[in-house]
Amino acid sequence: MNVTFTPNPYGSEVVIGGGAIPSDDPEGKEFYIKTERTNYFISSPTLPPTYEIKYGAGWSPKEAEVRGTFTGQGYGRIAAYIDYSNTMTALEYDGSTAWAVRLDGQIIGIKNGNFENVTFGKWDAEKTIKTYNQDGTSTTTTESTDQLRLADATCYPGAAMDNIAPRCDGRIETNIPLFLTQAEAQEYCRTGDTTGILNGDVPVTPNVYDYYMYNRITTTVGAGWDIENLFRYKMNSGKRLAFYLSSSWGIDEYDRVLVGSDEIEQSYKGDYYGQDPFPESNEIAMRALGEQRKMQSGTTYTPVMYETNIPTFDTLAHAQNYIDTGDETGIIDKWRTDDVVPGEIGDPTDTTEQGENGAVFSYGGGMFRLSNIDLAKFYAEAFNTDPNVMQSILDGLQLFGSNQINAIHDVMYIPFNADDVATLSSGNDIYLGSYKMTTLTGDRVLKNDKLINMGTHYFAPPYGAGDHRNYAPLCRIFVMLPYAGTHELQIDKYIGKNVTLKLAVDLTTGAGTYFVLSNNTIMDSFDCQIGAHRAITAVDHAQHVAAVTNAILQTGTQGIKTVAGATHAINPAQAATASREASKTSLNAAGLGGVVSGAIGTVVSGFQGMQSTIDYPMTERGSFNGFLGMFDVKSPYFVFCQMKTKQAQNLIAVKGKPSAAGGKLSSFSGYFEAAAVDLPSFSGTEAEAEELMSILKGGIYID
Amino acid sequence: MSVSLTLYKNTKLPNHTSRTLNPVAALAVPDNVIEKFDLEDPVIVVKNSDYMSFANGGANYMHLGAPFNRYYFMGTATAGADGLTRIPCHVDVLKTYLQEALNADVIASRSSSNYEIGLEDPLVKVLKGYNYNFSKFNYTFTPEAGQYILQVGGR
Repeated sequence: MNVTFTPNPYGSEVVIGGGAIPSDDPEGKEFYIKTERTNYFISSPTLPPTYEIKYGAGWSPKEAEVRGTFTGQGYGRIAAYIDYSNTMTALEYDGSTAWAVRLDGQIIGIKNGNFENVTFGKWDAEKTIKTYNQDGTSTTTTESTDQLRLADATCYPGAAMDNIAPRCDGRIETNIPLFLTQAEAQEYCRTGDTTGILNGDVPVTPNVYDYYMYNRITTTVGAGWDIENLFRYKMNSGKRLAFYLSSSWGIDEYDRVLVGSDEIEQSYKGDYYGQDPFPESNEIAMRALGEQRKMQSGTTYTPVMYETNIPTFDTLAHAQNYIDTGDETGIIDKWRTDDVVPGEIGDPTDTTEQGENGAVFSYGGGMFRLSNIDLAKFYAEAFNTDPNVMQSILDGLQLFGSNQINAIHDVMYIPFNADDVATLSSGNDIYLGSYKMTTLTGDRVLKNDKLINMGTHYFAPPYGAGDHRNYAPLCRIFVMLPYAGTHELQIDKYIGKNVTLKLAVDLTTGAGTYFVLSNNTIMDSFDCQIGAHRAITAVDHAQHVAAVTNAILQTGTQGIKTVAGATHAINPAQAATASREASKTSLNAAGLGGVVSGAIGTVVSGFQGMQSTIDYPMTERGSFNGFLGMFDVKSPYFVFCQMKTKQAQNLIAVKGKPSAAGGKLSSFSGYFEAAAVDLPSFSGTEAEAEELMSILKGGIYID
Repeated sequence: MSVSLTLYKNTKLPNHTSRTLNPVAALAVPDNVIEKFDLEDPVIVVKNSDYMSFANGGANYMHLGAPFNRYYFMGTATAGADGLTRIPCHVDVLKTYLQEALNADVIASRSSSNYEIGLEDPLVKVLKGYNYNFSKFNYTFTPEAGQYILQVGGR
């Protein structure tokens, strides 16, 4: 992609190439940076036009490459950003001086939670510089270095001096994830967020672990946690881990003990949020707490997070049997473990693979990116008043018969840089039929082959992992996608996950499709119309108007999302409550352009007696059409609609919380309300037994 | 034959497993003190003057020995013209059978000690209105400074 630096009124362009590779755990990996400096010249009113400084001390065209292995230990990720500093350096020509803004590169990494400059001293690298001379020859030097930096073929894209307009175009190619700003590079190092990456997608790092255990334990519910065991384990090939329930219930032990730890090849300990892999560790957590326990000390320990794919067995013998044979006899709370024995049809996978458009547009009709100035030139030439020119054009359009105007297929306005979605070639001739335009050239679209990656962000559960208040109807999320409208997302798909947005655009029509990914897996997609077409003929105009009008009419009468020409993806909210949708569609629009909004009543189970209707918090709508979309939001927004809830501070002590636990009554403490009771032995009367069970179901305090 | 009768002042509610029992009186009473011989709902008959002394001690709870071997809540006493006070009682099954109850196999619907925060809780009150929180992805379209795509037929 091309990057034009600002503030820079001189139009210097630097082409970014290469292709980022995962930089997490960079030790021992090979990285490179290649730079090229081209088209360096100065123009000034006091000098001959385009006074070109190409050859001279320090300013010759250069190609530089630094390639080496990273030797720094203990780093998480490394990234590079283009240090667009205002360091001034003198540029001499003809005895006068000018100033230029230096362009340099910085490489940072994160180690022990701190950002460090890893440009220097952590590389086993080799640097090659090729310098071109005026006579066409070149000189190449090679040397070993412990640095990896861009400065050796620096681009100087701008100047601060009056009447001086230096320009230096260039090329930077690297496989280190490259960002324009330091902030973006730091965010990538910290979380893996690829927003703003210049050299393409970073491939997903495959999991280096087999098991994970995320366990946070508190002595005071609602006040954070006191003990944290966040671990991932890589096993020796084919080996298993398991928990078994400890025999001492609530006295001095957690309720789960790990078996099979001697076959752990590597342990990873670390932050639950977004970092993959965790740093390597010499620790192994041998116990976990899955249920609240009152310890012998009298302190009650409560798990506020317990997520694992390590299965739990009722006895040590069953757990050991599972380790040895894979037999799941005695497995318990299998329903609590994440992604253990998921449904599978085909081979299990962590990602959904997206395709790439391989169609080539280099020939047989052209697609060109033009500025508004070039477009004006095009129209001026195509509708030239000079009869000779007009005749030449008509001669070139003979194949179009009497419909010569049909040689102009489409003019479409796009609100983004075509380089983001296509591979272009600059300075190409534009042919109308076989007539070659003489007053302009254009950037030709060779392939419409790129996805726009809008970045990845982690969605932390608002109330902490597992809390029912994180989910509908108490918490809902909507996404406002530019040109695609506002849509509700099913929150379960994204909570606690890395959420990525990608956009594919069809430059031939201006249609787009947003992909919403959860942990690199496509979960939702939404179609839209981004490009707005300029009519060439009256027929075009009538069709464009009809398309926009029909879309508005459809939105108005249906009251929901679909717009003519933009198919709508499955909306899980619709699928979940058909009655709600029926209520919605029964409200017709007030008129042309009207969109149904507002409160639709629905009864939500579990809230009887509380609140019998839940208002629909956001109005959904579908894609825009025509130029109206240009007034839509410019960036994707997520809207979190959270109902205000109130829970008594002493609720747990006075009335407990919903439970599905079972066991002996003696294993519970505090408030207890039974859903079912069985008395293995009872020495009283039948009436007393019934009364006792009734009391237990009515709620008691075990104190 | 006599039955041991121990009177207490209890200060714990019936739905607690523990009882705070302050002794008031311990008696060995003849059978005819028990007017209604009912294991679950006996009626105790005592002289008015005896009842007054029990009441002054705050007696509201009782244990009857064999053949009852049960704990009882004392109900509202009724003084009779015959100089006797009748006290209806009801068995405290939770205290009497506590060990058997603690040995019961149960499934909880609510619990202070073993609960699941992922289960919906109807006791979480929902207030009117929503909190709206906007967050943004940092990709920006440029409709104010877009580009044109020209499609032509030709070479």
